[in-house]
Amino acid sequence: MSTLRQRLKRSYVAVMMRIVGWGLRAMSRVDPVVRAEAAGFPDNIVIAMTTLPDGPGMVLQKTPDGRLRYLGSQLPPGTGLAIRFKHLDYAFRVFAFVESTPTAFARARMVVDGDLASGIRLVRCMYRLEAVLMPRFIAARGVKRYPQDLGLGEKLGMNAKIYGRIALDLATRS
Amino acid sequence: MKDNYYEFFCSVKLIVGTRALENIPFELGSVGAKRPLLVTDPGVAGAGLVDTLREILSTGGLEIAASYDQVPPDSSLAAVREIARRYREADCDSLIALGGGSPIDTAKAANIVASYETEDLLSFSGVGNLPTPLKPLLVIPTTAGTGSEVTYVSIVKDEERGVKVPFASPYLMPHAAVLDPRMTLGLPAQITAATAMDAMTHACESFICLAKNPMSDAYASAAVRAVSENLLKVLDRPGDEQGRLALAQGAAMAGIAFSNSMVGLVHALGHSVGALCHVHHGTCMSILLPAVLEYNLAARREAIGELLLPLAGADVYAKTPPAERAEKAIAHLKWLKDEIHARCGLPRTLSETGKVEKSQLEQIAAMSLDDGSIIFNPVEVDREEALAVLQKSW
Repeated sequence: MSTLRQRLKRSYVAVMMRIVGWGLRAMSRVDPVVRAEAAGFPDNIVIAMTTLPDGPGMVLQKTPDGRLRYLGSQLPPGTGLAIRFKHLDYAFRVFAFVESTPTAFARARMVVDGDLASGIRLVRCMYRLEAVLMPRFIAARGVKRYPQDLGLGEKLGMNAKIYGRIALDLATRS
Repeated sequence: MKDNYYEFFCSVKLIVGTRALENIPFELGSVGAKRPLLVTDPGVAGAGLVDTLREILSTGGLEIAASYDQVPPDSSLAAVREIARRYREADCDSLIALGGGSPIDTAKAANIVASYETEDLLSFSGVGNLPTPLKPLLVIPTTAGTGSEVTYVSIVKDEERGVKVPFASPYLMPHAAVLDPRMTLGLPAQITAATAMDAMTHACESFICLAKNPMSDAYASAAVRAVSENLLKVLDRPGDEQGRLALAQGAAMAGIAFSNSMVGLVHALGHSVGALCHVHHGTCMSILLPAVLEYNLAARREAIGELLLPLAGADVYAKTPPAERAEKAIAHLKWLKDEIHARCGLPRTLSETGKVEKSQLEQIAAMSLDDGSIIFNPVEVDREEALAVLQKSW
């Protein structure tokens, strides 16, 4: 039986997974860094990030026009890349910026199955998402190196574009 | 680190030393195996090592039931399938891999097909996709470098698709690895040096990368010492059995270290140089290691400084002020490269390989960013920085 604390953690991870999914979808359209990274994924590859044993998760697909499409939280049967956190708490620590993504990799907190090169690319996309969307003092805990060339002005401008794009995507359900 | 955490695993029994091969009949017998299939490559077979092994096993009452001696340099799915076919036809019950990384990786993959009696090897690719233990596999390395004899990974080339397919599972670990100095005595000087520097790089990277831990550090440090103390001696006296054995142990220890703490930028760059320019992996490692350590210096000064002790010995370590030990360790590796070059001509720079065009460096740098090793490097690497390391190694 799950405790209130477990349910809260699960909800937090589910919300963060959705923000990552929506954020990467939007950034593959408006952010030049993620756009360039997204273009490098194999066409139509399905990329999943989930938590064992039964979620929460998020699924993206690279479309032939070089963008990322958010497919929701349920894993389809076939994925080109699946990153599975071994435990809800491990996922929580990453999404709560207690443990950085590379540290989580180094501590074998997750299992990577499928195209490893795409996994490394996804991690770079997540670094960028964290750096752009999160305040610097939080993002710096989640990435190996906070980008020195990301000034406050650029960051705020990019935030406006990304959140605008997320709102548009949600309104149009694209 | 206030909330340290790591995982460490190695189930391989190591049988090491003079006349270690003579233990194989007993060892296989103890797991109920009587009909092994031998996997090797043309170079090993041509060097007469198969005949030596057959004679030793035969004296011990064990006959090789079938063999395959045509494993290509990067392994191949065709070789895996042919080995599995011969395994079934000869009613074998175990495998012996004799050779370097390719025969060992090929035997591991063939063991999947043979054990599960499947035609669909690729469905078992990836991490953790083997459901049950495999047949006994015994490994006899004939090079001292890859460490594949103690790892849970096999990489096989799919010739049709032109890609390398990885398999990773604890069940891929050999039941035993036999390190016998007779098996590496005939190794040419340049291959001896390149493979030993591969082991050196495994050890150094596992000592400085993100997944380092006290267990892997112990193995890595011992591996660095083994290679550093013995490589030049063996190049000077190729018949030095104890030196050869020390290198083989160093390679195995480095293998145990890096399979538990991973490798970083040297391997990310080296894999790309190898894929695009076909430079021997160990040669790539030897060339790139000092420049990558310099690149990681700010983030890993203390760890690199600690490498000076196994690299150069207690006297040098004690005489070097702590603040200068990291630079001294890197300088020692550069000195080692020069000494190796003077003895056997192993290239010290990418240009000396004669296989890398300067115009390829950008492509190599870009390709390296998608290599799985790069995430374990202590410093986040971008394309310009990877390119700068390559140019420094040019």
